Amino acid sequence: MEVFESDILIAGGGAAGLRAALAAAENYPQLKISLVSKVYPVRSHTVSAEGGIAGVMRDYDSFKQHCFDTIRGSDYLADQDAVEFFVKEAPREIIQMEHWGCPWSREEDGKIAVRAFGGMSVKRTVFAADKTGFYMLHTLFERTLKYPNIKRFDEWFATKLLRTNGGVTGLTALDLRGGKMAAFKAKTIILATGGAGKIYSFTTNGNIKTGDGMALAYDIGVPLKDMEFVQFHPTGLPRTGILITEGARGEGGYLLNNKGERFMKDYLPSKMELGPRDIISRSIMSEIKAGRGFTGPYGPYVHLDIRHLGQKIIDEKLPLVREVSKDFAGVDPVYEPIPVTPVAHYFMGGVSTNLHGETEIPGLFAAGETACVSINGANRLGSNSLAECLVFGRAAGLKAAEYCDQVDLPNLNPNELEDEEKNLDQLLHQEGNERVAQVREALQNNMQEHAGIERTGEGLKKALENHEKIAECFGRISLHDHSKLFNTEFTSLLELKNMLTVAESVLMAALHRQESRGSHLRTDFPTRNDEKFLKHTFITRGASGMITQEKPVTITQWQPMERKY
Amino acid sequence: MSFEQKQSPFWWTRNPQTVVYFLRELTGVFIALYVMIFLTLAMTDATLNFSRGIFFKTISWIGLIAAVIHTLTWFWVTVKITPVLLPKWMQLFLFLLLVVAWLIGSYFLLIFLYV
Amino acid sequence: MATDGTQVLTVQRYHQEKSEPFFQSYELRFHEDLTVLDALQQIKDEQDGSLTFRWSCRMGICGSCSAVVNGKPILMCQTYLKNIPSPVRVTPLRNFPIIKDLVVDIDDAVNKMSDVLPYTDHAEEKPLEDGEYQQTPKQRQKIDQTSQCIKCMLCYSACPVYGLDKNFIGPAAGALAYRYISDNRDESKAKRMDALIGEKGVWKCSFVGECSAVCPKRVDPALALQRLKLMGAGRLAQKVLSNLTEKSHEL
Repeated sequence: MEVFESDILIAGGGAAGLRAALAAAENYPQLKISLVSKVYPVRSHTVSAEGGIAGVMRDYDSFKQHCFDTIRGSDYLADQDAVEFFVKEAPREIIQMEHWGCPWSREEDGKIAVRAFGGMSVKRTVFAADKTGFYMLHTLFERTLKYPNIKRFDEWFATKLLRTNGGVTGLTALDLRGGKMAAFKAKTIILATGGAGKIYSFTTNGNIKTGDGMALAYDIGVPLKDMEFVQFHPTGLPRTGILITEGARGEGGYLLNNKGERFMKDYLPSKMELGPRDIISRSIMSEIKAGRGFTGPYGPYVHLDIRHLGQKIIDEKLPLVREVSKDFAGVDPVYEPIPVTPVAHYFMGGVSTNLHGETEIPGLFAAGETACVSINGANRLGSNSLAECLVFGRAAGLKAAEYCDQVDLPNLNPNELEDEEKNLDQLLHQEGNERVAQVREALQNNMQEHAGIERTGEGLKKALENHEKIAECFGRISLHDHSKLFNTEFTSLLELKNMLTVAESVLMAALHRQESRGSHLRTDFPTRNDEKFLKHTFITRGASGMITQEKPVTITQWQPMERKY
Repeated sequence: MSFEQKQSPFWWTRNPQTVVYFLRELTGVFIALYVMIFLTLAMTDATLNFSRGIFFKTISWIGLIAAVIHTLTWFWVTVKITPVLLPKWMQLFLFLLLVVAWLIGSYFLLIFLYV
Repeated sequence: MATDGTQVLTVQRYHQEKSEPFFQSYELRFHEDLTVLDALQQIKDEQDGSLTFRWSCRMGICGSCSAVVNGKPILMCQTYLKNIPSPVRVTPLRNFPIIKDLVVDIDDAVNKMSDVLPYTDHAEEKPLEDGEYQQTPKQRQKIDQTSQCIKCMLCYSACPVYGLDKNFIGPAAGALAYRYISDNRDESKAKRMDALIGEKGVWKCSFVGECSAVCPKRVDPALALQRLKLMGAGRLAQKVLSNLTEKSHEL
């Protein structure tokens, strides 16, 4: 079996992974950096981020204000030291992206422009039309081409992390185009594999977001933090779940019910459409429940109306909204309101790290949506996530590079590699009467039904029962395709395995948290309970399944209080 | 081992636009032919008497038709590759504008150079 | 075809152990909102798990699901079956080696993009504390169109010149070069221009215009390449002149 050696191995080629690679490559040209990604980096899901990236860029704004907005948005579950670090670093990263050529939208005088966003008290979201993630990803990718010490492994699927008691030693991965498994020996590994929106049947996320990094880390004993917090974005298109950016409301769009009223006046009159996502999503759901939604062939929805902005502003600032509305909802937002409905969007939780991206295992780092530092707590504010990818991607890259000095290249255990190869081979030829797609669908429906916007203890228990059955079915899946070369049926089986882990952790954590906070709404415990639950939920792998624990939240300057807008 | 795809020699027949493209490129041959014949004949006969003969008239007509086809198809391509996709009527309008400008330009050339 | 029912979809298959590419037809459940990508997923999920294709974002921005449908290179996620005349025939992108079914090896094109040095360089890097480089909306407008490229490689598939000669730098790489050259913040234009006027460079483009016709983001690589030719000619003339003056000094 081929073995590749590197100082830093980065799994995932989205914004966080590329930023980590650049930080290390630029500052430590002697280091060998491998970038392993299951797709070409420019296909990573950062590409679909639309609205913008937050940072204190203006004199009217302040460090404290951004910190407070983020912490209040998180329903006081964010670690405040991490938030402070994040808010301090974010503007620097935005400028860095500009220096690298990212085409931010501009003011008339040539300065970087900002727009309003949900839950932010002032305009602080930098944007590039409504394709911010796309522009950032391509700028970052193109920048990596400058550094010869970054070696890309495009379309390699990571299957297992390797560790000893001393720390992480490497990983095994499938070379899809070569049809072979290979091993990577590395002093440090940075996981930047994104979230796991695909565990829901209705999601804004692309096909690749199956929580691979979270599951890989969990498998070798790293705790997953705050997995119960899944953000539902208020405005997705019915049927496809394709995202309509919050920027549409940031630019002045209205949410309307079937009476043509801006219904947010009944829920959040001070902020209207620019409230945090958890509150807006819940408001839409209650409008729909009250019979004030529209009914369509693909479920109920409300209207997002941006007609009053006019064609010029729409084409200039929201071109993608117009494009996808026309292509995927058959509606031109210049002339008609867009049908929208809440949709699974983002994982606040993930692999537990500190603010340098370090996990509990020496040499293993995580950054981006995969990681949970946590700055997002119980609810992320829109446009904080792109900044998070950059800030913590860079932090992890630099810390990993420093760590490389302290350790030697580890040795891999050949038996372990052989076992993994056998294990994969066994999965490839496994026999039974189940199909990948059916089991995946069962998992997604189970999560959508019981772990959506509203949750109950009973529902979650039922979901865990179902989950156990679904997990059993996994062992009976047989594939049509037994070939080794670019076998996407096989990779979806491996992805499904990861999704099972992530889904179970979400259910376990959600059942444990008997309160309502941020995106986690338990109708059987409708209020926030700081006394018992101002804590992070940790899910760790135990001998006989998942173990749930609690860890305290770091509070610096902002004492928890009622979350009022 | 991947499978190498070979481009078919008839790739340009796949799509009506590329057929037009090739026709346009082909007109260049006739235009060049006209110019070459004209220059060769003009070099040997400064009085341009040959231009009254049926041979040169035929060649001239072929050259003219080729030039017209070339110009018109070029104009049509030009209105199609604008940075923003224009609605059909605007494309047509732009095209007509170009044709008119071309005709006016040709008229003045004719007046000042020949008449 | 407005009503629901069934439809037949023909896909070009290639599995290396079965030697030559072949065609296979599938019958699928049709409805109004079915895209070609949805159709392939339906087949993979329900009938034939070995059918292989790439996809991710399903909203026309990640560039994974490129293929040729009824002779035209398109993104499958944006192409509705109801808009395509039957019979529908899906084949892999042209001009690239086929790895499996609709999956082709686009590394050559990716490397060509790397060759044009796609990153801004400043003669002297300004410290981050000093803030951003200024760029007015008008200056940004110049890079707006070419920076829309999602690297889906439809243009390489449509380009007959690239089909004949794999040395040609190709449409998307040209557009990418133009994007950085026309950026007012970039100060390494000469280096990039030199990469474009060599033997593999822009001269091979014969302006068929197919690349711009198929581009799902209207990047117009053909236009970018023509502009690069003009700039390249200027750069060549400049080089010749500076060579000449150097020579005359020596004399």
